[in-house]
Amino acid sequence: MDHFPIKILADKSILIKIKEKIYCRQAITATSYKFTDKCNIFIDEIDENIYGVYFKNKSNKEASLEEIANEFCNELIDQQTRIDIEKEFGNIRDKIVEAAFSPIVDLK
Amino acid sequence: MKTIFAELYNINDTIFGKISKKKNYILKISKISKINYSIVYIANQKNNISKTQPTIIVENISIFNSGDIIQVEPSGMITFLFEIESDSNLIFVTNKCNCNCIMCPQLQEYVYDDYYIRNKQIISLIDSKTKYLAFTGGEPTLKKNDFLSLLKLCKKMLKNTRIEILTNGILLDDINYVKEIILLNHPHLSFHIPLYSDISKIHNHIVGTDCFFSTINGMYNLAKFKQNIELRVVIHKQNYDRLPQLAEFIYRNLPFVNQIALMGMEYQGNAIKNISDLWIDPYDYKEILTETVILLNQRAMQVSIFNHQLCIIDTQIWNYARKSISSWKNFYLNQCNKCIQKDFCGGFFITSHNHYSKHINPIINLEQIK
Amino acid sequence: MYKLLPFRFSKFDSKYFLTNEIGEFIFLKQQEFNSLINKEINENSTLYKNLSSKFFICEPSNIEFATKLLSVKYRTKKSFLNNFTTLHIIVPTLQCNSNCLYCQVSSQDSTLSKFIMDLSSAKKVVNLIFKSSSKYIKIELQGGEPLLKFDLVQKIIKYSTKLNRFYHKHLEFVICTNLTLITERQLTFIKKFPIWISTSLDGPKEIHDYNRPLRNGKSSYDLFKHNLEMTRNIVGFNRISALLTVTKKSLSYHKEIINEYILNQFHSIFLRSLNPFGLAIKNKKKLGYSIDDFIEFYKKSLLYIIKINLNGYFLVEEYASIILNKILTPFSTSFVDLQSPAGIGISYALYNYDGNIYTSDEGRMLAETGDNKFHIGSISQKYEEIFYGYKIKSLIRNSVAETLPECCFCPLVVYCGADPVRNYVEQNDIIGNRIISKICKKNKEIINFLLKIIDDNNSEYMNVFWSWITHRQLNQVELKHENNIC
Repeated sequence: MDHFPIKILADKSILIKIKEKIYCRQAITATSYKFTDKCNIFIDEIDENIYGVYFKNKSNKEASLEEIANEFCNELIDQQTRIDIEKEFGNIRDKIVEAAFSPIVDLK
Repeated sequence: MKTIFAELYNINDTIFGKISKKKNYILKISKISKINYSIVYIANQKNNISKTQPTIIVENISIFNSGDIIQVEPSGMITFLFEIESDSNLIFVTNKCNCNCIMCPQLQEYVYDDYYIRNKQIISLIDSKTKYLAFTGGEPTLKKNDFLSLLKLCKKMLKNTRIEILTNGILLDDINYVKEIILLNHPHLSFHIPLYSDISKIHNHIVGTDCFFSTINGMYNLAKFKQNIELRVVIHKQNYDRLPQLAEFIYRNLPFVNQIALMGMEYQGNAIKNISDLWIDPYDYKEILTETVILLNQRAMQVSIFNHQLCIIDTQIWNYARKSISSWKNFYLNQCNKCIQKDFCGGFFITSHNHYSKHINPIINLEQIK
Repeated sequence: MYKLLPFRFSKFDSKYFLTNEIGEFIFLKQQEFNSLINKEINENSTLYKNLSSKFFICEPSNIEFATKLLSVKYRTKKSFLNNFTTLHIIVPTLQCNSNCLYCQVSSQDSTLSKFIMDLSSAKKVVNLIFKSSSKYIKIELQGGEPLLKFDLVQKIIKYSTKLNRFYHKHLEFVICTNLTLITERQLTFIKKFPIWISTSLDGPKEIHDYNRPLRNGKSSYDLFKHNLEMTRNIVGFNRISALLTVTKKSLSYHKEIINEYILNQFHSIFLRSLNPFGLAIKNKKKLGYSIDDFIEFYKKSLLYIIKINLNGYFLVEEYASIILNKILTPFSTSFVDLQSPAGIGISYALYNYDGNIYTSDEGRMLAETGDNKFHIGSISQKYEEIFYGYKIKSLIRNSVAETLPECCFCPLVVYCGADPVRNYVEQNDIIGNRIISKICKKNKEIINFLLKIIDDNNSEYMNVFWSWITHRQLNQVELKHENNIC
């Protein structure tokens, strides 16, 4: 049964396989960043167009890696959404800021 | 404007002028009336009327006050163009408008060939102690040169009079137009601009033209020059449900407005033909109205309620209700005579004689309102 | 099909919380959020209208107007930048008669004279201050204890006032003092000028004296009380305000501390957490607490303060008030510690007794440990070299929260700010890692706590908040029931 892409490895660390087609690298990195205080994370290219995110317990912390990995999956969706919608309105934000800081029309 | 009918003697043209009283009331004819007499007598009895002296006979002569400016038509109809006792005198700059609001109460009767010349004359006759004078229409900003000239004239002749400009603000989207107004340097101007919704589509539908963003930008232009702005929200079926959201929208986008007027609709003009799309019993939006006032008051925005009777609004907001209806178009129902709040209540528009809340109920004692 | 306008989002309990660039916000259910992203919202629905009204979405034909409107509002929100450096902190002396446990100034004994600014340096400082393009100048005198060198303080104030006759700026002064040394003569001088007094009151006598002992062993609380009355008799109630620093000892006494403020007729309180600088580090065991402890203390205190307001006593918690202004109003706030870009240099600066200039008092503290990261110049340099120099520019470039990791996607960024100095002290990096940042945790928890109250929409609590925001008594914010109007 390989529906959910969480694999528990021999050394008790966890691997999540992520297709590049679905989640871009920026989303994966940004999501991983959020969990760096809870455990150690390593991102690697496993196969063509497939990333692997490895979760390992920190030496001084014992956490439920499976729980973290599940949370990671949900967070990944949010993060990818952020990147997707940013594509739609990113330049509007630039226009807003630029217009806000340009000099006001001559009021003389 | 107030109109009455009188018996006329030796008057065969339309004339206008200013009422004056020494021992008796007379009408001093304005110079532009192209006739050969300058004084008309006013009396309440027909004895001793001269065969040639132009005379007006009215039953109740105290309807006139010294300083009133009237127009007399040969039919006997007298229109009060300016009333010295009133705070809500109007100058019709033009009858043309760049909108077609679905509830516009304006009648088509004020159609003249020569608004500008008449208005110049009227302004020169108006008592300089007058506190307020409103420029209206149609849309006063449509005739730019006339509008600016009349403002200039007011600045010169009515130095202490506040000019309230009733405008949709659309043409003020052009900053150069606004600059021209500002350059006149009139010391007491205020702009009274309608905004009916926080949603552009709804506002545009009510106004009959695509103008939501121009109106807002017009207000931004006025704000750049720190002008006094009053927002007017006429409430009806098309927009009552989003009043609280409109209040929040105003605070977030137009926080500089000085006043917000929440107004009941007048059953006149377009409002009559569109009544099925417009009519809602104000009692039915009572809670929404209260919520709106609460929101605006929390944010320290000045709010007034116009044209709503006290018995159909929450007592919590009575302090915000104003007696806003000009006396000549104001009336009260018979049952209102029993109401202990009658003196504080603005009553009804005469035109609303069969379109008012079915919850009107005179307040007999204080227990009722607790 | 509608277009999305710029917004940020995150989960908020079981809902989604969204903000736009201006700080307008909306709470959405999961289903509503999905519909928003998938462009499935019906244009006649209330949800569509609410999103439209708050500029989260718009019709494609209206994009240009919406962008223009948003830029005007954005300009308003960021207008604290208009005036450039408005707050100028001068440290005329490090001498202090107090020995506060958490002192971040490493204040020196009264007897040592080398830690005093000389008059010619003071004048150079003021000359530099007036070169700021700001129309508003606030000169804040900190120390040490400025009253120990009151003659110098007087000269600074007089010289600034004289110079301002030429510059015509709106000029104000603040004297930060423990109040224990103030005299009638000093107050008479203070009365004549636009001087505000900022003092500390950590709580009832036991807490105040514990946190803030005087070097001579006397009770600072007793002196404070006596002098507070004298101060008010001479300069009035409006010119003096107090704040407190929360220490480990304070954590169990939130009611007593707040009651002490009411007892002393203060109408404003600022619940400050310990700064991880100076003596606070040395005394960590005695004073220190986790950020979670502070957050719990803050939440309890805020609820208690709200109840006090509802009982008829106006008391504003200043930190909450600033955040509420950012959340609920379209206006800009001028609190230099919570802004983006950070206020260092561009909104405020500190001029030390030795003529060195720093971004803030934390920057000055670091220099004492040998780290000049936040040293931006000295009075021997030209104004342009300092304030338009490479140092400030590179620091500011890295303190625009909207561009920093984590902050850039956080919906609370519009209510928060960047704190490069704190990041540097805690993590040795001015950009900082938000995941482990204590200041991020504190701000996030407090802002979310306020947002929860706003979402609950309890009308009484909202009225208290609006009374703070609009500086009015509660009964002016509430609607009154009157039997008749007149």
